Amino acid sequence: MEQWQERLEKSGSLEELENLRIEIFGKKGFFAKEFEKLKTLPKEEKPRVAKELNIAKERLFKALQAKKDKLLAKEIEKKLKSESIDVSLYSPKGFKGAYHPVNHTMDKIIEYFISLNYSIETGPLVEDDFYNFEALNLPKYHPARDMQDTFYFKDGKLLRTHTSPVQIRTMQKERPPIRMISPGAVFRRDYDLTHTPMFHQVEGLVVDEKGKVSFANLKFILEDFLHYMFGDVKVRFRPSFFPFTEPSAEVDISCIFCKGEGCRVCSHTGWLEVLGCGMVDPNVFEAVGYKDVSGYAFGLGVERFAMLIHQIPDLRVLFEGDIRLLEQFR
Amino acid sequence: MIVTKNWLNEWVDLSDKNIDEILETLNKIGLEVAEHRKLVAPDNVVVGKVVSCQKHPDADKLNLCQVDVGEERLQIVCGAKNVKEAQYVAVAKVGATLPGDFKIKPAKLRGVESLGMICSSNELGFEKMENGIMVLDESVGELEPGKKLSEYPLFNDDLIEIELTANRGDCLSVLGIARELAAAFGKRLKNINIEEDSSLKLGIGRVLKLNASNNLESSVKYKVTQKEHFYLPFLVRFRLALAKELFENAYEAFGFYVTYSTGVITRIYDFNFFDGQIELKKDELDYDAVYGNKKASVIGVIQYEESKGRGDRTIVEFSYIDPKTISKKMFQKKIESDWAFYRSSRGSEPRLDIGKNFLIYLYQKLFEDYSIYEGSLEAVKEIEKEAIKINLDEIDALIGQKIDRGLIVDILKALGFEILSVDEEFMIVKTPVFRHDIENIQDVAEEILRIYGIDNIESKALRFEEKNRLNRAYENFLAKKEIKAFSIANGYFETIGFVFTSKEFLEKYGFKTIKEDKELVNPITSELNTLRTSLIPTLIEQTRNNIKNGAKRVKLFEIGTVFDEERAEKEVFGGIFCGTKEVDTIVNKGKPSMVEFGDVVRDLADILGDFDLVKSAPKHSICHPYQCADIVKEGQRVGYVAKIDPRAQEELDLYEGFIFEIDFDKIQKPYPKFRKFSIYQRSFKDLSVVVDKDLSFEDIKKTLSVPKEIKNFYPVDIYEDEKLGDKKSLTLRFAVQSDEKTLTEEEIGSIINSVLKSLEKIGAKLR
Repeated sequence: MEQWQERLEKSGSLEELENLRIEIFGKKGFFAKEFEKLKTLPKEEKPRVAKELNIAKERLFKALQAKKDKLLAKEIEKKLKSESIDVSLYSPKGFKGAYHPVNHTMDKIIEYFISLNYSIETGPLVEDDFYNFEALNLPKYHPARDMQDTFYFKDGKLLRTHTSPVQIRTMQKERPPIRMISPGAVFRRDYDLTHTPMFHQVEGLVVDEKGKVSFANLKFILEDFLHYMFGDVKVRFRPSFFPFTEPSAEVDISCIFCKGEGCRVCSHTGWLEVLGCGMVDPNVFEAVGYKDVSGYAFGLGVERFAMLIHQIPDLRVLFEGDIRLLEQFR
Repeated sequence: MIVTKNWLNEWVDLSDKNIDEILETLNKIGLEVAEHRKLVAPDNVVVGKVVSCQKHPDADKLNLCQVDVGEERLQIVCGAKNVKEAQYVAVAKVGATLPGDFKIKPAKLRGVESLGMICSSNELGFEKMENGIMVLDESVGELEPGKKLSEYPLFNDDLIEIELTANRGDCLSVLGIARELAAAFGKRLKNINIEEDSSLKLGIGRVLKLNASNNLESSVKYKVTQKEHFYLPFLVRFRLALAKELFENAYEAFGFYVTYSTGVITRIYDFNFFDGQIELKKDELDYDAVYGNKKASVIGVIQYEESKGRGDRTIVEFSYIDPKTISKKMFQKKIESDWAFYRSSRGSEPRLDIGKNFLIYLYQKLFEDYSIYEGSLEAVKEIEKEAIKINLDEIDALIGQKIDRGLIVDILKALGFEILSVDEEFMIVKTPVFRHDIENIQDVAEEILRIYGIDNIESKALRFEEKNRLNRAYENFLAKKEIKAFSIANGYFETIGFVFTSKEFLEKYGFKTIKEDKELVNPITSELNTLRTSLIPTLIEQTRNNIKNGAKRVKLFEIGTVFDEERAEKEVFGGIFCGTKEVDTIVNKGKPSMVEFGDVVRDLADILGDFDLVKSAPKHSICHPYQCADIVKEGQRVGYVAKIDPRAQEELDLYEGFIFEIDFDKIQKPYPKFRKFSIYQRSFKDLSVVVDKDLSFEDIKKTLSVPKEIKNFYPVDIYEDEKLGDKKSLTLRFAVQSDEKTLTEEEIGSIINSVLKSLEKIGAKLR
């Protein structure tokens, strides 16, 4: 019996084990022969020997099964091992495309305002003087028109120089309360290191009954927005001038590169200018026929935000479709 | 606007304020500091007096100077042409270090010892004034040889450049900025004291008459002055150089200095240009003009060269014209202008006496022998500012915080407002005559806000009523994001192109162009001289650049605006797939094949879902004439996909590739509606048939009538061979399924047979 046990243990393959099984349990195998011998035994010994034989048979059979499982596992393992590959050969590189950093930044900005229940409004790129200038308190002779070099068409139309015309169009179309942003491309006749003839803005406008909307509200939303975009920065408001708001302010954040210590990017001031804003000028409300309302407006340059967030040093490269830049934003 | 701390200090006492405090305050009140730098003469630079000046024995261009520097006399070799005996000059002594790390050491120049350097303003780190060395005069202060230059306020100062906004014409002067600082610091402006002038008792009327017509829109005032050997004092030249305002004519420069200091536009005329009479009247374009022998100037616009001061006797003019009036005039009838128009159109100082008094003050302070005729000639229009009634609660509501009423009064008074009455609720004020930008209550609120300080306003969340604002633009935003996400997942990079492109390119490749009468008037470059009517030109340009940079595979897309001939705008989703179909990988052994029609179609299917491709004529000559298809979705043509024509490919240095353009508006999905589907088993049967080569699958689909159990059929193989002649073999797969039961083999067989019969009707034969 021990001998069988030993041979079972020693068998190295499923085939060897099968042969062994036949040798032990087969029709002409060991147990068949042993049971055959029972016939020759005296009657009173038969039950005892038979019982012993059955126990031994069962034990050997279990051992065989265990061995078989073991060998099977080994076999599968061997097969699987033969299928092994160098997974590192397959590291995917260069498959996926990417969002353009400017549009991605714009989307991030838009999502903030959607979550605060601002509507998105759009308008045409080709505008006329009324929407782009006149209605925004920029009469033809106004010196502030110098601030914006404009593309004109032969029929007197122009490419919008800011997204503010959308504010006028929305105010004409809707009634207060209004709460909107207008993202999109704008155009100025300027092309050098820091200017491209096309760039993107997001503007915001909130209008409600007179006395309801205050500068303190404007301050609140812009502080919160800038923290959302830039994280833990200081926010500073400086009074400024825009023809379509009064009071007006420019908004700075503490320099995200030097933490306000002063560096090249912030011209050693410790501050980065990121936004313009103000309370809507009564002349603008008058141009759209609104009475007894109050409101605030703000506007920002998306490229500026994208360049700050991603530390992109050159503006023009954003419009060249250069994969060497774009693949960095996968 | 460039000022210095000491210059401001002449108008408001800033001695107790350090420079950081001044800069921070300027920013806080809306005068943005663009630059600040120290203006300090280096150590070991002192006042020297040139005692003697001779030619260098061995060099024509060098001078040998003996210079008194107080405790000693230095021999200095100087190359400047303008050095002369008895001049007071700035001397950098041995041991001084000038800007650019230039160390002054004892030197020998052509054999002669030189112990220092006589400096120009440039060499000391100040703005360049004129050629040659800096010749000092008493306008700097009392000149003592040996006294350190940095002990004079002029040479120990802080330069501040302020970026003025277009509305603040009142701050285009040193006085204007001083007034703002005075308000912010709670100080009073200094008084300019003019001593009683006793030099000349002769009245101006003896020598000059003013003849002003009564339809003028401007105000003027005239003085007559006399000074032999008129010159520009050092202080004036130095400061004008700092402000980067240089003039050829010394009189004009002096008048400008008065303008720059006070804001009153000041011109100096040659007395002899006028035969004792100034004629002031409208010119042919309705501008207010000054005439002597000829036209001398246009008020607020320009002074003509011939009338500028040149002799001992001069006429000084102080003028003002309303900024809106002059801006409108200029907009309607543009004429040549000089420095004055920038100031008059933004609003110059209307109180002419400020300029007049400052001129007299300067003469008294800077010159010794001069005469100013008594009295003045004038034609002045009084400016009446309307009183504004202000509801103070409205101011509070606008700012979002209650501001103390006493504080409001103080702020407005300091800014020059006249307070006519005030109670808890209302205030009636008159705006200062020099503030052209203040018209309504919000303007007044801004004044209060900026001086009170935005920092002192507590941020408050706005309470707002609920409203659904998820409009069409929002849906577009989401749809765009989805298209972008799918495109990116398929390996496309998003790009942004200018809406401008080259008209020549559009015409060459047969794209539409904007109608001539709607074209751009002032394009920025000849390559960007029209609006794009397709995204393809920009995408191709970007692809070319990427290929130039070594890319073998370029996949780009853009969702952007294009224009039609009428310049109507629409948004288009366009893309390009050029080069190898896959990235080089271990799988394709680094040798991926070139992109094929099916590859780009599969990408588009991932992005757009199912669509049909219908053969189409090329849209422009970038499209391959025989590989161009319309993309049809739910029966509607939404765009096209085409191979790049090999001729265009070669001309443009591209790889084989495909382009597509899809109308963004047309691919937005409505809510899908439920359609009943069969629950019984579906079988698939293939039929290979031989058909005419020209017969497209699209034609088969259109003409083949099939039983209702054929749910769908589609091509799975195409075989073309010479042996087949003008035929081709096409294998179609048919999905067979009943809505009512599971079909038996026999039933399926008879359905397929009926299909076969239909196929034969359209000329297809079983292979």
